[in-house]
Amino acid sequence: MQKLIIDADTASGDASAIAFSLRTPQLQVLAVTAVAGAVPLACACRNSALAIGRAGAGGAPLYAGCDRPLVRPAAAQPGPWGADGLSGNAFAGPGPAAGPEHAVNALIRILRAEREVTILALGPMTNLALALRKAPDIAGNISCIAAVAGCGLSRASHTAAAEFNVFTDPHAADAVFRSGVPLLLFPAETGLADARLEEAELAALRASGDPAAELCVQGGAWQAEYHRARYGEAFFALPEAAAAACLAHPEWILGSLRCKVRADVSGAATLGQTVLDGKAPEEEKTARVVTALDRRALAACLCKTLGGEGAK
Amino acid sequence: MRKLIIDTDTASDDAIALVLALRCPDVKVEAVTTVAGNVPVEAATRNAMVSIAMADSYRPPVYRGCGQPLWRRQITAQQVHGQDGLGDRGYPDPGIPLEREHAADAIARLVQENEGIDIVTLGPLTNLAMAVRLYPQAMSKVRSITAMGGQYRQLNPHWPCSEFNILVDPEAAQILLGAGIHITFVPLDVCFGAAAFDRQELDALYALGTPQARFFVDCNRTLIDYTLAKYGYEELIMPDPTAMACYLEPGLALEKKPAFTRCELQSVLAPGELVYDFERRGGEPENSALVTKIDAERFKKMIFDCCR
Repeated sequence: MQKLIIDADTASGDASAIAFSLRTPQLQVLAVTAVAGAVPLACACRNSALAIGRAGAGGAPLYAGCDRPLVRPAAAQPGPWGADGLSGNAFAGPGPAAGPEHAVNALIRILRAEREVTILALGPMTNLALALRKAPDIAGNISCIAAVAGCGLSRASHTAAAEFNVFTDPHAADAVFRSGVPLLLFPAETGLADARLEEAELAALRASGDPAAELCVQGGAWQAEYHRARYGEAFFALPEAAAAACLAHPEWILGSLRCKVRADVSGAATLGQTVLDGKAPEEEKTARVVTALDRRALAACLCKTLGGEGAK
Repeated sequence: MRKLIIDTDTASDDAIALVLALRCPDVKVEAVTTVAGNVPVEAATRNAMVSIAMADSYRPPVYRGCGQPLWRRQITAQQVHGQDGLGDRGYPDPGIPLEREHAADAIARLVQENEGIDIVTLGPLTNLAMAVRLYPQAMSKVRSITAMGGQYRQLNPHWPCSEFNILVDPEAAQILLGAGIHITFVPLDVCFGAAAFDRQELDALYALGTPQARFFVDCNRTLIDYTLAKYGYEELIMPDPTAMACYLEPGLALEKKPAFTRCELQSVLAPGELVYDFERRGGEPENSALVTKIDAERFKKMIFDCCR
């Protein structure tokens, strides 16, 4: 069983990943920590709570973290995912209230008590950077930070040079990248290409009637129009849930490269760019960047788990 | 009675500032919080404890804070203050216990618990910036910040555009400047000239013979030697005590200019520069004041009186 803390600026994709992780027997979710980013902090908390509640699999404590990036101003709202991060659906459902402890302090407390914890970083890394700065001793208890962040292999996703999470808080991302903690990066291109659900798979998920599937599919409805307008194709992708699935099934990572990674905090055109350096000395190459995923295996697993058949 | 928190990267001139505050009957130091800067945070913490003991007054709790800037790599100034930060004189550990709470948590808690508490910062602003980011509501209650930091027109021989405290963590400085808390900057500029102690004044101070007088001069030995080697004269500037004195005696600052101040984060030529906009033609908020002139004679008298 892999111990997991999920840090997220929960919109629809992150919500799917949270529900998926809670229902996956190989993963033990120690906590969900919310951060502002794709949506404001309160919304990220609300959506995380919805996902935890709808997963219906034991639950996990929820903590509210930073309400803005370290240095840069907060991301412009609303994003393409809607002001509520869930395509404007008025989802209801029980879920935990965010605990009184600040997410950064919760991260520190949990990481001091546990060993070999994986952090699934699905949003701007503000909470993580502050936790590592505040309590550098926790680095040794983190097996890996698996982040759906960055790009640079083929094309960018948020700006011409950068992916959203890193662009929103490049200082936090860079501090995390330089921390020495092993990194498993799922860049935007990989997720958009290989974490897709085909029409039939999406239809089956929709038809399942499962409350987590509803959050995933209806909450993610914004994708169709957004992708059609941007990429000429109305595809549906779940990069965040795919990353979680790869933690449980590392064999579904079909290609990766090892490098040193930095985030640009000061460029004009290159702000938020992730620079992958394959020529760095061996000991500085702390990142494994995923370049290809087993789409079919992932899709089958995501549909099974979110559709209610693989639940714990 | 004014209450304050002192945040410090305790090296030799911070030490004097701490003693000055602790021996001042008009203020109460509620906490000393330490940060990396002049020296690593462990040394800064130890030096703070040495200074507190040396003040021979009361003993506020000591909280250790950040060992690294928020984003930048650490730089220190051990070549200026000594490897241990106190002139490598081997001052013994006074056995003051370290509080368990992180400095950033303590700062926010104390601000929340104490109506109208002030903060004096003598080092990089990392702890305060972390407190602001973690506890923005609580930190909005800070009454004032007096910071030793920045430079104005002084040609800084170390870095042409920036002063050390800001240079170490410019992002932290900018976080503070955007936090809606008024900051009074005491820049390097007002610490030179008449405010610097020359050889005779240092001898006269030392001749007072008290433990504090000896400490003030001895722990700054490396700084005095460094100045002599680099510039050919024996002189001691006291930036942190100057800033502390400006807080302790508000009349000490003869000239204070209100400004909208920003910290430059991106320039290749001028990282960590504080840019003071006194005109604020765009209607920018007055987030700070820059001290541009102090009563140097009165400042020196404060130092002497403290040691009697």
